[in-house]
Amino acid sequence: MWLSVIWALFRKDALLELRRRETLLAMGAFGVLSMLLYNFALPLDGDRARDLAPGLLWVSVTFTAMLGLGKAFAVEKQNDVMDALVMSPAPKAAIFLGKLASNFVFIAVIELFLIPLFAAFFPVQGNAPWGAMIGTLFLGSLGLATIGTLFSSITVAMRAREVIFPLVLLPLMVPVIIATSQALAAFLNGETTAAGAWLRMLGVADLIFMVASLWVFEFLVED
Amino acid sequence: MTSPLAKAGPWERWLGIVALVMVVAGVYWGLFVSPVDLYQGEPMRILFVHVPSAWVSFLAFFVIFVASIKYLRTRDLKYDTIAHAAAGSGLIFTGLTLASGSIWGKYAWGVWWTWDARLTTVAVLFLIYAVYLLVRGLIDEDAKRARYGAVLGIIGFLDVPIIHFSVYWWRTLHQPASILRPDSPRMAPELMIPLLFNTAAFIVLFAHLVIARRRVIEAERSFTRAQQEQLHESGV
Repeated sequence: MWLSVIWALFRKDALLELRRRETLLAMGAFGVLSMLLYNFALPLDGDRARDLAPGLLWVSVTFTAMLGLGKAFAVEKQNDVMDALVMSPAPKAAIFLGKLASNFVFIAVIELFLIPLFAAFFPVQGNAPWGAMIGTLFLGSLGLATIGTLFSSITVAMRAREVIFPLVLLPLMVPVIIATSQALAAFLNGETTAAGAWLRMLGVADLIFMVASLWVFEFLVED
Repeated sequence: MTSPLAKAGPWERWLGIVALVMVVAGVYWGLFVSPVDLYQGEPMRILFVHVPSAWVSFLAFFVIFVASIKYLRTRDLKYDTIAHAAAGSGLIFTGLTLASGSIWGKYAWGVWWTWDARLTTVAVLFLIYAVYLLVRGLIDEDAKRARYGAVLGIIGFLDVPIIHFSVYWWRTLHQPASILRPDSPRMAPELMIPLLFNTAAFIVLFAHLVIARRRVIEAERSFTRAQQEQLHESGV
């Protein structure tokens, strides 16, 4: 039951996206643009680039993700899909996990697309531990997608939702932003122990966000 | 029908009087009676405002957290009103914590702002709860506002320890914390007792503010309801 609900919702969002290509295109374009802008705005040469790059990468990803997350529930609002979902016998938590799955995958796809660009735009060493860095990005994105999915279901029905969604999300994301940027920086500098400590913190944050969100989501969608 | 703007109840009035007396006494104690730390000098007296407001800020957010859970359990709007009232009053104390911390920082460290772990945590808290009030203000329906508010209140509170630890690590891994934090040897009782007294005074003041704010929120709610009923009756 759970898995089939999650899969059905994910499949629906993925199919919609494959046909309309709205969210991913917008996110991808925005991600590229933000990296270009950093290069125009900041003196990114040599060592400085290596110091700044991990933080800039994660901030780029956060803003890009926000673009998609903010309207994740817009599609459920049309034709009252959300009401139908809530009325269906599907467990509320499974509905949450289904939306979370598609949001997370969208962010992950964008990250895989941005990583090579990032390596090209920012002169970081070629032998950077890319695998570990991608893992870090995914772990950070999980926390981002969890809280993003939760609050996007609230703000979608609100006045001024484009403004209010980032305002709700970003302060809550402070620990994820710190831990992910620090872990990325530590991996780039070869400090594996420090990176591991940050990853543990990120894992704990993800876990707390996940458990809390699964618990409170049912209260958000009950009408 | 009793007037929704009924006068302050006995609790509100008495807590207000006690708060006034205690705050005045605490200010006098802190400014004129209590001795001053030899190394930190007169500016350290701001401690008597800073530390109590920080504690009351955390207390306020704990009240929001508990009231939010109770609301989701019982669906009694009373708890939502308490959370709302605590957020408004808590935000004032959080602002006071930030302002007094900044003034202290200018004296002690020579800068208005530093990314000290505790200062940063309080700043993020301030933002989260400012957004909490903002979100509440954008929702018109009582039950929906209460539910959304409760969820934000719960997640925001659970985020506090994560924020604190991440900021703390972030600072300590990057530079020695010793310059940034005034090392705190055991506090002398001459300082500790007025500090505790001031904290008690601030807590009483906070309780008074929450009760008063709650009365105003309820009055506003019944005013809106009466207005809607009138519109309804006049056939609009």
